[in-house]
Amino acid sequence: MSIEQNIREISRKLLSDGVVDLIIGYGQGTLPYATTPVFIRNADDVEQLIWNPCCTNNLALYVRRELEQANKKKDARPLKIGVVTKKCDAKAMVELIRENQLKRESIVVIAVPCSGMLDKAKLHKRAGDRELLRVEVSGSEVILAGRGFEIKVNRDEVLRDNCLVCKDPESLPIADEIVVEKDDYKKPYVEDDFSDVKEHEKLSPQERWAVFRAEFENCIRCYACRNACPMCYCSECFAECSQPRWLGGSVELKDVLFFQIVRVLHQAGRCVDCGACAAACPMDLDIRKYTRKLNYDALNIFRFETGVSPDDKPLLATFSIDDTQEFITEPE
Amino acid sequence: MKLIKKNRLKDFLNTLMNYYDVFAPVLKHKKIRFQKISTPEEVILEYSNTHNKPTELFFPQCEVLFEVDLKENIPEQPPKPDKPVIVFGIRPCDARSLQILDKVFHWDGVDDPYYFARRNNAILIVMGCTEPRSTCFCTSVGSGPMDHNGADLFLTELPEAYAIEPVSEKGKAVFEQVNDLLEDATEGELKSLAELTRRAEQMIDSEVNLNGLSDKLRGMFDHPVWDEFHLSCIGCGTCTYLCPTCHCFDILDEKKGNYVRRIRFWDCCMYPYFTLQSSGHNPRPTQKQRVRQRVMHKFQYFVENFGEIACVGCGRCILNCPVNLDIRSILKRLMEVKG
Repeated sequence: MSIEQNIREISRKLLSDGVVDLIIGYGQGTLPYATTPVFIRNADDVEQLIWNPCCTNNLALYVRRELEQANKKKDARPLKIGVVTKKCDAKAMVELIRENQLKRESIVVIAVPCSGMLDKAKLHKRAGDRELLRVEVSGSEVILAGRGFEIKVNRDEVLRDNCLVCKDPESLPIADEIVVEKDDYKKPYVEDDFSDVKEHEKLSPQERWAVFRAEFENCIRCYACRNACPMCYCSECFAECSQPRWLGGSVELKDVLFFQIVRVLHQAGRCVDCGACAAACPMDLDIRKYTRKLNYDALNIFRFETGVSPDDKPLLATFSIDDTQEFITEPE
Repeated sequence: MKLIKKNRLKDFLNTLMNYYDVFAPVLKHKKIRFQKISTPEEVILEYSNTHNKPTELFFPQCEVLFEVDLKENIPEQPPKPDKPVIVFGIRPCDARSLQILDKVFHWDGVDDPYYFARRNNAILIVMGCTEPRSTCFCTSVGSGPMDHNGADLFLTELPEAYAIEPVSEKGKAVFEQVNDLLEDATEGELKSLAELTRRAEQMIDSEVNLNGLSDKLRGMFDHPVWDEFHLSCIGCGTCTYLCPTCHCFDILDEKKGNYVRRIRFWDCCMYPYFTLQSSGHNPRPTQKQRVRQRVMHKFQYFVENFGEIACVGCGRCILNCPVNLDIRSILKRLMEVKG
């Protein structure tokens, strides 16, 4: 049996036994490097569920949304959702539980042993930006093919950066149903030394500003980063708030930079580094760089990591008298 | 038939740059998009299509409509373009999308002055598609990879040259300006042109039958099929902001010190705030209604208002949607369900 068949089997049972009302998972996409989230309510439809290294979207986003919408309906039976869950989705759900956005008992976590997801931008780069018509994964090899070319690349080299630093992707912080089948490929693990963050910190404020500007002046303010993020769930985002209005309507630097800075800062102690924002960005901006800085600070200053246990309090909801105060600067 | 040899394309562009501000596909931060060029070397010639929509040259994401100095109380008009513009290398689908925008910005016989100031000032040198992408479905929406509609001059890439055909009066004038650089096509090259044109059309393998769709949609506003599509949609603006025919905008007054300016900027029907009224009422409160709006607008309302589909089949929304919600799949489903 494959992972995919295992997921279908579990889902079929959950639906036909009436344990869950809905399964959220991944379905066949229309591009060779994409899957699309699917919503299954009928046990006969579980064949739509698939599993491959292109299951990039973070499904925690939909879980929260579906539960919120269901709970708005008066007198409705509480909705229960089965979720095809890889480690980063599980981490996001842990954070959502900690922030009282999700009830643990509303979800059945179908824990899938993930072996890393492919990075769309890396695939395109390896194909020399030629159109990809076929992406075939077998073991540690990925075949990229298009009109008049077929190349083999090492799977390790086309994984998303956040997947490379993901430790023990097979052990999830929350799990109810375990997919026991395994991939025949083992993802490399690179210990995260945050060297990129440290390098960036060495730059002068002017240089850092220049790097930031050069990247985000290309932002088209489509909000894909925000909307793909499982942790961005405010019912009214500051970016759209009109009373008061926090930022203007343009895509001039002043507005785009303000949007991005505030969006990133709102992730302090919350980002699970699932890479959904970066994968969603239609302009391929290096969005993860800045949330990584926050994750580094949370770890470095407070020894805090996201997505570990649903029982702990969120970072920003805790205070210890021993907390370091080095980052607090006195006004001059 | 005249040709411009590939090794003379540089001279061709240089000649154009003497008379015009030339905009062409360039590589900007990992993505190919149209920008004003200062040398022919900047131009990217090997591209299926630009990542961003070229209609942004005429209807930019954000523009200042006017500025007022509160002290002086003199409205300042935004600067008028002084040099005529050439858009070199725009694809047939995108040239067609400008014809669609022309209709919107000429609604009820009134020209939008900002849009038409740029539009009337520009000449389109369209580059036929000899290598369409698998996501291109222009032939399904009444066009094709070699569609000359909307072009002033039409170029087709041959092995060693570009075939060049003047289409409009404006195009003929440019044709004269570069006449010295042109050569007559040989019989072999003419054959090659015919062959490439035929091949390009065959290469569009993405076919969606839309016969009768807009009529069918008229009665489908409350159809249960709309419960299917929006589920995976995350409500971002990728599809609309990259779509060459999307044209919705918002207007805002911004004040800084003594200056007030009125700006116009793209808006997006996928956003919940798009239709939020000051009373607090929102006629499209759910993503289901917003996704339906986008499809209906392009394939029903626009047809009713302007007599054609507001989609040119460029495939940008398909290639860039973060959740791979494919407009072709939606259309196929709409065609197959019982109306």
